[in-house]
Amino acid sequence: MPKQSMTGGNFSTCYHCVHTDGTKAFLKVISIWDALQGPNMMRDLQQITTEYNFECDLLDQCKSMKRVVTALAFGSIKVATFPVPMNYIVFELAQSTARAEISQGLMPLDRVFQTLHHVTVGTRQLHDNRIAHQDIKPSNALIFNDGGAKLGDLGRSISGDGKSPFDALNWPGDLSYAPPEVVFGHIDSDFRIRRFATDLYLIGSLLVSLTTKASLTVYIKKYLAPNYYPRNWGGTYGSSYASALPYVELAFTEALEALEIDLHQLYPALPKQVRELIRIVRELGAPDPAIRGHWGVEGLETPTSTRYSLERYLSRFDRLATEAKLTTLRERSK
Amino acid sequence: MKSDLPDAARRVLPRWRGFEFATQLGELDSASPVTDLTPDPAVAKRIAKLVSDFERDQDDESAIELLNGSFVLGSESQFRQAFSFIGKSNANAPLVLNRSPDVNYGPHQSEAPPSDQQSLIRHEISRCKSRVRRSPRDAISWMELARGYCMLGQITKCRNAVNVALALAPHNRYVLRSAARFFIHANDSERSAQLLRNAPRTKHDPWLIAAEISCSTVANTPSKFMNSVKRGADNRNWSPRNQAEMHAAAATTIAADGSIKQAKKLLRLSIRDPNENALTQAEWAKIQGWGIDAPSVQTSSLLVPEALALRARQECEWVKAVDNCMKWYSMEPTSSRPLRLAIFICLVALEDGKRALEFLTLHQMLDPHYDRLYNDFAVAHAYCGNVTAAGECLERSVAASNYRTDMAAEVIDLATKGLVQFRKRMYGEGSECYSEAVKIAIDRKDRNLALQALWHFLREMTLIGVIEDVSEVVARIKPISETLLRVAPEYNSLIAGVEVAMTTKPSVKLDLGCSSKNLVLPAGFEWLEHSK
Repeated sequence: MPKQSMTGGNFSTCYHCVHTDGTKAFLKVISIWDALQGPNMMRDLQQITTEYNFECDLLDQCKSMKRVVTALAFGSIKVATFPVPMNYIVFELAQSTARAEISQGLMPLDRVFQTLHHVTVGTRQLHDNRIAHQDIKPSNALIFNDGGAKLGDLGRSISGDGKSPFDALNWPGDLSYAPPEVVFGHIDSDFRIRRFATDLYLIGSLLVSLTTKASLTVYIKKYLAPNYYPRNWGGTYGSSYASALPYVELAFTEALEALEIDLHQLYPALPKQVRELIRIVRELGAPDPAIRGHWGVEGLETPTSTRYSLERYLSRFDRLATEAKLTTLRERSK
Repeated sequence: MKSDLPDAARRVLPRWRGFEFATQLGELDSASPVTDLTPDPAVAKRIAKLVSDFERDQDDESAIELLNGSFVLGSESQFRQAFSFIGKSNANAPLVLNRSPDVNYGPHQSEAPPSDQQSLIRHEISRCKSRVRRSPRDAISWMELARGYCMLGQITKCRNAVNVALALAPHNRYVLRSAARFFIHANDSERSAQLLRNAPRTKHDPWLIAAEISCSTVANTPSKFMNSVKRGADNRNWSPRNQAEMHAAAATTIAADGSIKQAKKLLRLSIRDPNENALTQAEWAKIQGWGIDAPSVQTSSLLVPEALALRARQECEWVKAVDNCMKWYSMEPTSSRPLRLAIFICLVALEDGKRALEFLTLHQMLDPHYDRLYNDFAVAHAYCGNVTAAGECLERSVAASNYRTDMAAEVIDLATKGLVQFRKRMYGEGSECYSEAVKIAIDRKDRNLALQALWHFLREMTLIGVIEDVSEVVARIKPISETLLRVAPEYNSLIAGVEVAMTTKPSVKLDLGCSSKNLVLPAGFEWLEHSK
């Protein structure tokens, strides 16, 4: 059954596999054997068991979500050559990832907006179920044969019911994509600000990554004076995020100015869409997580429509994708 | 006659520098920096994963990922590795990582910056306005906008921008210190002290404590943190550099209360690793007579134009002092103190009306509502030989002054009127004005003011060659001018000029319409000689 060894996380190995009916899939195998051989066996066993069970539960919960990569199957199997049963999860197989697409060259803006639209649909579906993804990045935006995208890798997600094995972590996701407040060690007591607002930042950052190949965090760090780098960015700034926030805000302002110039250079035929893109990044990437998201709902929040709600971005991404496509077609026909 | 003397007192008030300059000087660095520089295990793990993926795949996809990750997580060697790979293979490197961060992305990037100071400030204001319009939560840009308005003397607009910045970032050192300095500038020292006293962050930040102590002294209110600084003078949690201003501020306040020994102890702590402001304060304390053996400001690696100006002034090197005042103004363009000192030196020591006019124009831009400037403009114009403009400025000065509340203004305006009359060759009227000015100052028991007016009068007399009549007066008032020379050493130069003229100019007899002796020795002159 295993066809090709792929990358994997802790105690897991990934393969491309083919079902007997010819369906191709993505297989994640949890290696209990590795845990048994480690120095902290009991602890490692507990960790992989909790993480595996949580991911399976989550995938079960997400099986009806159209823009989240779902599990085709999961369970455990006895293999003759292994002394312990092997646990696995079989996912639908994507054709590519957004990370691979951007490395091929400039991604057309209509494709960028379409991908963002699909990823945002997936994130919204998760948020509606009080699940925060926490690891949205180009390699987790999976592109399928029909050109659509889905949000993959729920392994680092946080559930609002407090059952996630990563609940205690300030940041379960990839540190190099983490929003600034996380890097400065700020922990908000409000679940929405701590988890949903960071997802919004990651969507804004993904938008920047898909167009420029650099994340929003790269842009912000580039324009932040090294005096204010926290430890995880290779600096010594030790004061609170509240005191550093104005410096980050200034870096964000300068980063957006640079981003705007870069985008006009990369997409010279789409100035209107670029301006709108900058507006979206300004909202989604705001360094203060408490004011991130749509500004239009200030004072008008309801339990179902808050500033962290993604509905408005869905329609904006959808419209922008169409506009960009039409403009490009018009340009080509000239 | 030049109006008020330069400030004798100096407080360690926070400098309102541009944000970039303050950052370069390290004045906004964390008071409690991270000491454990071992990378977070999660960072090391992430970098290791990115590197192993890149080494295995050796493609643009993994290189871009490593480029992003190593840049953010501060792993320079891995960043170079990925960058050279991408650079070698194609132009797939992100634009942002290909460029210097110093590029200015302001809205007017295509325009060449204007050359004159006022247009330059307006250009900067326009850039900041555009920024805050697009990023309204950017408190630093609001503060930079306020700074621009302050430099143009637009206090109301400046106050509004400061208030916005304070509302956005009430815990930030740059915002709090700049706001406190602004309120001092706007003659609202109580708000300045109150702002720092009530800020929750102040007790955790020695830079804010320093500002609170100094602003409280200016506001004449007790400082909330003075006792704690006195008690635990050296806080081991903060580096000597971070505490330098705090110790200098406390030393100054304590010295003003008369405890020189304790002040010296604190001053010594402040110069272990001083910043520019603390070193300048040590220099000033030395000039005031309660200083300690501080590092020489001339050889300091720090940029200390104010200290150099004070030192040059003390050593009567006027051109050097003025040049350093200009550098000091460039460093702190929201403060009128460097301009006031430069104007004083130009008008009293150098008698350089042209240069004084340059500084006066800058001062007027900074503080357009400061009416006493008209008198200085009149003096500068008179020195330049433009008596019509001098007369007009003097009229505006007289119209703007309230002699009931500002006695000195009456004396100064009268003496300036005397100067203008002398330059119009109307010596009799000029003598009468000077004489009246001296008389009023004596009547109101202002010794230094009377001596100032008298010396200016004597200079005008010697310039026209009336030597014999003034010789005796010079001999009598020179020994009693020590106090004046201590607070205004510029008069050394003026007195030297009078003495040179007395020995070199041919004496002439002019009919001034009355006896010069009676003019320069008004009733009560003896008080000048016998009072202390």
